[in-house]
Amino acid sequence: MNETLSMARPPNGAEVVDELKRCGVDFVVTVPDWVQIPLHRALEQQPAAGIRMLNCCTEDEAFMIAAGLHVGGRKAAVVIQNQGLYAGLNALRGVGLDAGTPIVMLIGQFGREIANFDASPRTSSRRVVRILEPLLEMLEIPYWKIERKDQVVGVSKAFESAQKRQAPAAVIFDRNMAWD
Amino acid sequence: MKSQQACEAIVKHRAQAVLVCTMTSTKWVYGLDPKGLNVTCVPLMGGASTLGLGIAVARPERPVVVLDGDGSLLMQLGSLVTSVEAAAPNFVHIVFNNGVWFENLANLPVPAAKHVDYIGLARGAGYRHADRYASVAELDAALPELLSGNGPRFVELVIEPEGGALWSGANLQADLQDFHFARMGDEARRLKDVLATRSA
Repeated sequence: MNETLSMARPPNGAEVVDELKRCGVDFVVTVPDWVQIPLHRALEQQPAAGIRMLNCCTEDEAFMIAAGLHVGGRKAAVVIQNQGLYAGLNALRGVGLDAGTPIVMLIGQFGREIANFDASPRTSSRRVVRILEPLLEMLEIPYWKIERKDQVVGVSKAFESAQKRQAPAAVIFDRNMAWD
Repeated sequence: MKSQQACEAIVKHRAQAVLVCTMTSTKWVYGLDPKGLNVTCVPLMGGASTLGLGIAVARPERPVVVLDGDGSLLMQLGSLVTSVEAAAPNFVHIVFNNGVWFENLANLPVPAAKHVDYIGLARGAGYRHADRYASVAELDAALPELLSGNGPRFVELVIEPEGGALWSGANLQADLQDFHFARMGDEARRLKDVLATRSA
C-alpha cells in the first residue's frame, strides 16, 4: 500500500538546518512562522551550525535585509509564512523581482486543514492556503513543495534556481515540520 | 538646514562608507558623488533602512549610512526595533525630517509632522545613541563620531523643505523612464562587486 501524504513524516527542524548548511546559508532572516517552529527551535539549539537568526518586525524588512546581506556577500534564507508573503509583496516586488536579487523564501502553509492533506492546497477551504501557489506562479517565482522528509532537497533546488536566475525562489512547507 | 546641505556634509565625511539613499537624498548624493559606494532604494519607499541594515551586518568593516526620509521611516517604523535587535555597530540611520512627501515637487504633508518625536521613537525602540541636528554646522561637527563605528546610531536632521510645488496642471509629472525601475538592481550588483573586490 502506498503511503499517503497524511501518513508521511515531514522533515524536522534539524534536517532543514542541515540542508541550509549544505546550501552555504549563514543567515536566517525571519518573522517567525507557525509551520516552521521546529526550524526556529533547531536554529536556537544549534549555534554551532553557524547560521545567525535575524528576527524582524515585518516581512518587508526580512526581504530588504536578505537583499542587503546578498549585496554584502552573504547568503540568507527568508523564513516566513503565507500571510507574510502577502504582507511583504511590494518589498519582494522591488528588491527581489525588479532588482534581480536571489532571495530564497521558506514559506509555511499556515492554516492548511488536515482534511486537505491528501489533496492539492489549491482546493483548501481556506483562502490563505489556496492562493499561495497561484500567487507565486503569477509572480513567476518557482517553488518546491515539501511535505515529506525525502523532499527536503527542495531547499537546495530553490537556492540553485535563485542563483541561476538571479531572482527569487520559494520553498513551501505544506505541513507543520516534525518535532523529532 | 536644507537637504542639499546635509548631503554635502555627509558626502564630505563619508570616506569608504556605503550610502543607502532614497527619495530626496538620492537626488543630491548622486549629483555630488556619483561614483561613491551608493545604492538607492527606489521605487520602494520604506525599504532603505533595512536594506542598509543587511549590508551593515554583512560588512562590519565599514560604515553603512542610510539617508532615509521621514515619510519612508513611518512606512516601516518597526525597522527601528529590528535595527536595535541586529546591533550592527557600523550602522547609522539618518532621517531627513522635512515634514513632506515629494519635496519641492508637491510637498504633501507627512502625517503628524508637527508632532512626531523621532528621537523619542528611536530611544523607545532601544537606540542608545539618538541625536537631532538642526544646523549643518552641528551635523558637520558630529559626522566623524557618527561614522566611527560606535553604533548603531540614529540621527534626525531638521530639514527645511524646498518651497516649490512644481507639479501642477501646467507642469505635469514627467514620465518615469525604465532607468528608475532598474537602477536599484544595477547599483546593488555594482556595489556587491566592489565590496567583494575590496575585501579580497
